[in-house]
Amino acid sequence: MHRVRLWKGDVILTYAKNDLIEMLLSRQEKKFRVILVDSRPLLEGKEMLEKLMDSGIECSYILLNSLSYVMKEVTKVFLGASALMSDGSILSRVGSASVAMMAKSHNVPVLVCCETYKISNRVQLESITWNELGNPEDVLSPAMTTSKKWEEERGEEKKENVDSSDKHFRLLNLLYDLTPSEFVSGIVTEMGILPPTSVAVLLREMNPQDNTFKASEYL
Amino acid sequence: GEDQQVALPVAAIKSLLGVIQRTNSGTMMGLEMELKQASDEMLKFANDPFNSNMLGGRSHIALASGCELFLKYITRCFLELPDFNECIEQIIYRGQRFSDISIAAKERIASTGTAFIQPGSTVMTHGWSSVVSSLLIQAAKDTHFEIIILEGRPDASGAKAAASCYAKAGIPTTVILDSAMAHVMERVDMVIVGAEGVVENGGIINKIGTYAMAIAAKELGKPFYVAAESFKFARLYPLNQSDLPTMGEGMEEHLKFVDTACWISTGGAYGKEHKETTMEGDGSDGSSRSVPGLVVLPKEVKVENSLCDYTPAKYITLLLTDLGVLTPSAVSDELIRL
Repeated sequence: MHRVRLWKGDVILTYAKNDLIEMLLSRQEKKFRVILVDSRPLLEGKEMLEKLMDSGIECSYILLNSLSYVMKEVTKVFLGASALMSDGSILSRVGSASVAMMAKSHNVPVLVCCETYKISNRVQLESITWNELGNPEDVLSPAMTTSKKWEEERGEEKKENVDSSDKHFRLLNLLYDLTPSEFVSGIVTEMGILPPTSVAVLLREMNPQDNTFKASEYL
Repeated sequence: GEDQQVALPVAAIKSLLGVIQRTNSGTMMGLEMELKQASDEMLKFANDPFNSNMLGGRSHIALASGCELFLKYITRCFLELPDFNECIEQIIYRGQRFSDISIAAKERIASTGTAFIQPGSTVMTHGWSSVVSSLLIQAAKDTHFEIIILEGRPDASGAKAAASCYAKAGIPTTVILDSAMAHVMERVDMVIVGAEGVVENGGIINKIGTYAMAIAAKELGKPFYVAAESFKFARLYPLNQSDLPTMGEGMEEHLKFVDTACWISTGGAYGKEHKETTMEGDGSDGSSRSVPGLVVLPKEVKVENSLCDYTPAKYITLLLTDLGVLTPSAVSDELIRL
């Protein structure tokens, strides 16, 4: 983790909440600023924002919608991960894949911070199958400020104009998504920075007892 | 020939071996500290801009990576042979063989590389690399092909390499302007360059101009090969061009754009005062300098002179190394195991 060094004037973009990234950023010496991207319904970024501001880092806070507007100022993107697939794709908080793809299209390097115990020997080709679902109602719930304002102005509680019990209507609250390895420039682990193609090698080196395949048996 | 020119990392490792042989330390930790100190001193010396001329203006990356790999080897050796004296003997033996290993590495690369050069092909290269030149000279013994080489400003290394090396070996050589590279790329069948350092993601750091050549080659579908020994594998992970280790302040002052034709006519008096022809001011803003062909810029104009650039892995087809022919992603695999 100490191998990652930021330059003076760097503009770092990070998404949602990650303790590793918070640690990494608070230990840097040069002057830089952070753009924190957050998304509904979890709004995890607020906690991260507090911690970064306590460390004295200059921060901006946006929602995922404004991403294309800020991306041209960004110099580096840091993302967290919940799991690392052996082909180098990243399973992380839903929305991370969009951030990575946008960064790639603007030629901004994307660094994923992930401990090696999160490496999985699974390969996922899409993000639906092994995902987790959050409370579907959270997707519909209006923002606190919007409903308060409505109440103040009209004197009645804001009603949903969508009936969630309607049989034509489904709510989907996914918690994770899969970022393909081609959007990732490097994976920061406690063993140093790796390219996504090397995750399988690291898995093999760390678990030599799992190497059941021996080429010599087939030749 | 070029065998007399000892590679920088080999010389560094010889110095480290000297430290080991003279050590009073009785423990591995003590020895490791002495070696770390010695390699830091060497790097400091290499970083100092005044000494850069002695090193031929080359980057210190190969030096740093060579030292680091040797130090890692020493640590691994101690884990295998816990007895201090036995370990030292093994290290000295290995270290002394290192210069042989490095020469053998060049030969190995040259022999694997010849298979890549088809008869009648046109090969483009850049900069002065002893690995690439030994590869091409070796290939010329069996195959007939031609070389296109860029001038290589500001140190005219391309012109130097072409004039002294390839012509002697009887390979038809053409020198072109650095800026003519893309224009000529369609006539070329393959590109081969050396490297100052090979970074962890399989990219390379090499003489300025290599990145542009790689992009043009990829765009026109020409294979881009890199010939480098494994001691050049560095523990660096640049994310973009500005992520390269800086050469130290003051390098910019040494920049003087020299016409490479004048390099030949002044007998290599690059940057030095040429005694015969001293021209007075010819009525323009600045008075002419004494070395003919030297461009004088107004003081307000900034000059940037990076010696090296970074070529990302996606532009590199294959790396020809003494560990074998590797794809860029295999470089990291090798480094993990080291």
